[in-house]
Amino acid sequence: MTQFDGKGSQVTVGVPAGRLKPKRVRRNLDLTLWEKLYVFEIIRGMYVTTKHFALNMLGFVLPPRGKKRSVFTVYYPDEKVVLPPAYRGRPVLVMRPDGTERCVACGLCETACPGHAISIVGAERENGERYPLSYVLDMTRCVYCGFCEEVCPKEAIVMSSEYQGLAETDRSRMRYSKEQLLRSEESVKGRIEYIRRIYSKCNY
Amino acid sequence: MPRLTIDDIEIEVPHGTKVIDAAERLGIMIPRFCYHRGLGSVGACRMCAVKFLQGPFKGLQMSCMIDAQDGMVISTTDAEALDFRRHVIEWLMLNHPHDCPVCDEGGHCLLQDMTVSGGHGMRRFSGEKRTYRDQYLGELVQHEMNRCIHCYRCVRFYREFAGYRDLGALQIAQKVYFGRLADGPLESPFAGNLVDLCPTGVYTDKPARFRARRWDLERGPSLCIHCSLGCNTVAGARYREVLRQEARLNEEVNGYFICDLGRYGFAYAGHPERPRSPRIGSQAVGWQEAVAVACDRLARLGPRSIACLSSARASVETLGTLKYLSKRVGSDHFVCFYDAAVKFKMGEIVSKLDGRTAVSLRDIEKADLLIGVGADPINAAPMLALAMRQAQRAGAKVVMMDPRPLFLPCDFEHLSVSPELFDVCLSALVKSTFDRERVGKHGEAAVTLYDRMLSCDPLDASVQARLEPLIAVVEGCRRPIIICGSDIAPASSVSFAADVALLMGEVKDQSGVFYVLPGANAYGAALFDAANGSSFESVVQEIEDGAIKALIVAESDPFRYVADRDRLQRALNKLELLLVLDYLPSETVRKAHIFLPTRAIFETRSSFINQEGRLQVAEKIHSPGTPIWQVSNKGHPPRLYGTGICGGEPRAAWRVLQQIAHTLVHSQNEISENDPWPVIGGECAVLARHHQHNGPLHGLRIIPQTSTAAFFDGDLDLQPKQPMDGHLTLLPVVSTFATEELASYSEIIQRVIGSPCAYLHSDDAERCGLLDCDRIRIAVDDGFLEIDLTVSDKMARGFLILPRHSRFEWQKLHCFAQGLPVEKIGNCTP
Ligand code: SF4
Ligand code: SF4
Ligand code: SF4
Ligand code: FES
Repeated sequence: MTQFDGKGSQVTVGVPAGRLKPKRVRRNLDLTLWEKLYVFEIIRGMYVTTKHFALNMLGFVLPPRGKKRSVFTVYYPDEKVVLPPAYRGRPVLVMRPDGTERCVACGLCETACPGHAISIVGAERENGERYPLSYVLDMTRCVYCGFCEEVCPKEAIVMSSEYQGLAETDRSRMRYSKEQLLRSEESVKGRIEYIRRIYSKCNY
Repeated sequence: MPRLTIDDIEIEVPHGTKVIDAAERLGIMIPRFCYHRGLGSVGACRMCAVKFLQGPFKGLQMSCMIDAQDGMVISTTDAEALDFRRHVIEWLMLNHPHDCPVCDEGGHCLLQDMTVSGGHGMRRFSGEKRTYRDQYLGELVQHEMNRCIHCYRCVRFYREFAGYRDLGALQIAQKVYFGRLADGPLESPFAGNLVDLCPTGVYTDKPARFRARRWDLERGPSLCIHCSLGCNTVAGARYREVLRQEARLNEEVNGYFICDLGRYGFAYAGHPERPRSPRIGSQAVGWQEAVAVACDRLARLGPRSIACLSSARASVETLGTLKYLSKRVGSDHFVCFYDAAVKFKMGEIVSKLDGRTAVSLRDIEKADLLIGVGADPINAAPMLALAMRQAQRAGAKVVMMDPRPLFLPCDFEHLSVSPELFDVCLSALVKSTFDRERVGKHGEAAVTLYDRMLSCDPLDASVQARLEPLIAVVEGCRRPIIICGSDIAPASSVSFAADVALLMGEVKDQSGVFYVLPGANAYGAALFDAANGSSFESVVQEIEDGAIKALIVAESDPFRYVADRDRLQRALNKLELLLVLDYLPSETVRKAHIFLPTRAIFETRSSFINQEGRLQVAEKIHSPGTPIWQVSNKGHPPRLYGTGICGGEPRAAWRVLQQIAHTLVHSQNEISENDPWPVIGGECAVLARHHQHNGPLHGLRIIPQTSTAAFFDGDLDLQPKQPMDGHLTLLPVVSTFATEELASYSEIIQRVIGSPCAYLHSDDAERCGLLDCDRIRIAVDDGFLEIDLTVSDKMARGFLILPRHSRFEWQKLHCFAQGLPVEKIGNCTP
């Protein structure tokens, strides 16, 4: 469902974060003949497509129902989609309130990353804290798998819902430094809550 | 031999085997923290509990504390044992910080493994943890005491095994602290082993801090080539650079440990100024062009006008192929030793060392008498000192004849005699052990020598008095070993030591001679170099005469060794071609007309022969290339898109030399391009035997069982010489970490070596009006050398001992003017 949030430029897609529950998936492949035909599913899918198509066609002329507009199309870039926390956009580093990064340069994300997108050079602060002197994320290599986020013992790297500027015409511009990746805790709060919920269910 | 059953499998083990080791033989790894085979058991951690079901012990017991005995039935997986071990982990974790992400041990940590495998995932304890303050322990080892689990491995190694006192267990009960009394660098040259030993991250490798996790490293078996012992290491490289080395177990050579030079000396291979591309003059060129031009210029010269230089740090492959090349181009000169005396001694050693007398470090540990002849283990071959300490701990007597103020981490009898007296002293010490009949088994020459030993005059009273009690020890011992140096010991002592060892073999259970050689592959170099009459001196002479027009230098640096650098420079200027192959940014490389970069030990498979004639192979660890750390200025690997590796040009020296040889003599047929061993075998009969399809067999001794050399030199002069009064002899000696060539290009080692320091006997000092801690200067031909002075009375009179230190131009010393060369110019530099 597309919701018009009234501010005119922000549109939220999908189920609100609070209501999201991991769904139990039925993994039974012994389908009945009826299921194998997929007829019902195809009809259901066509219904959704047709509905969106029709509403998009007619939505401009139909009066808004309450605050809601009936159009599904988002007018990007004038309107921006705010994605749900489950969305895996650009991995970003979380900043502590004092402006330093949470990351301790342990190198686990570097190891877990299947595309070798991350390289870290560790160092030590005056007070003995270990921190990444440089943290480079090569987005030409990132496959948005979220493994880095999953292994991070410090919740220091999270998959934000940022999707802008992920494509470039020059590969060298897709190498992000630590400074470019740092985000305030506030801005990734939803995702952090989400991963706490999801990963606490996993038993390692 | 007791038979016991562990987890339903029967096994028979030798007497004295601990249950934990017996299980390991079956492939059952009982968890442990404090037990280490090199250090023995203390039963401090309680982690190795297993259930004894039948036999002399019953119930839960520590498997590291109990010797395997007949009829034992043991379960390692008994529920009670499992539960016990789980609790041990949990209580060890009570105080252990949760800092794996910031800990450099993380990834190869025993505690981490045990915690995970023991299933201790959640902490129940919510109280405060014990914390400590960490110490500064020098540039090599990082201290982080909170992580300690009190297994006592560190102090057991440091104090008991290695014999140093500056690290220990302090305080009591809950607060036991492992460290020094005050911050400061660890004094032991074996301190790096704490890094390997500590099962947690209390001691970590400081130079490699934050650089990599264990799994990031390309690891492989390598060797230490900083001294002649050839200790085995595991080198770990990342991003085209070796980051750390660990000791690799080799029962015959180094055991479980290595010294700090072996552990931290690797940095020469990643030296920022290491030349990495072929050059003609100062112009960087491609390989093809460089080799073509070199071949072209060599081909234009006559057969007798080429000389080849190499050194004791070059691998067997390099030496063998260079020898092959030198023969193919008709060169008369193949020189590996710059000092003619050293070369002669090496020839003696190689010809005399055989299966009857050669001993390994392990044999030294088992010896009951060690006689040092002009050997300074701590400075020349540190792991030897550790082996000697183990012998001494087991009750051996250690006697050292040496003019230097020796230090050893064990008790020893020091006879501070001058090198000229070594033979006489050794003879006086051992002669009463022999009898004519058994000596006679070795022929006429042996008897003649024995007679001369018997008939020689007594030594001066003070030495004789020290010798008397030792003679009885020599008579009573069963496994004596003579440890003989090759730098200050005269050639006569080198061969006399072998003679004595051979004769001792007749009257003792086991005897041997252990030589300390001047370089990792000195034995190998001598195999190729020995039979040839040329010396470096004659090469320089012929260059000056114009007979030699081209010099091929493979992994060697004459500038480092010669005293008269100006003369060498003038000689090199006369050359038509100076072709240098090397991996160090040396003076000779800078002067090369054509330079070809070669690979260091980590970048190609190479073999070295250690001082007991053991051929050992170091595998290739990583491909050559400029370390990414340097390319990116200590940053992140630059993601450059292109072909080829930056700085990846170096090639194995043997490949290049073989290519040059083939181009020059147009013989492609019989030689394989990928295997240097057919060529090497062709050059050296001893090695030919070891030419296998896969190259040499690792760890094989290549010495003959019985040497055919002439033992028992009849001309040996056994008359004690009177010391010349008032005369000072300069004695350049090796100095730990500071002398070795490769280490002088290793930044980490350079950070830790002390400043050079000369030694003088207190009587001599008084005569010269010098005091301890004076700064002195020594007149040499072109000016003065300055150095700090230490006055000692634990050394021989009449010597001024000077270190061959990388910060001291010892090369100039030969031209020292007679008379009193030393004068004071101030006090020690702080
Ligand atoms: S896993 Fe987390 S703490 Fe470790 S290096 Fe990556 S971002 Fe930093
Ligand atoms: S410092 Fe390490 S080696 Fe020493 S007692 Fe503690 S855990 Fe054991
Ligand atoms: S004793 Fe010699 S060979 Fe062994 S690690 Fe030390 S320097 Fe290397
Ligand atoms: S290993 Fe046996 S008690 Fe520690």
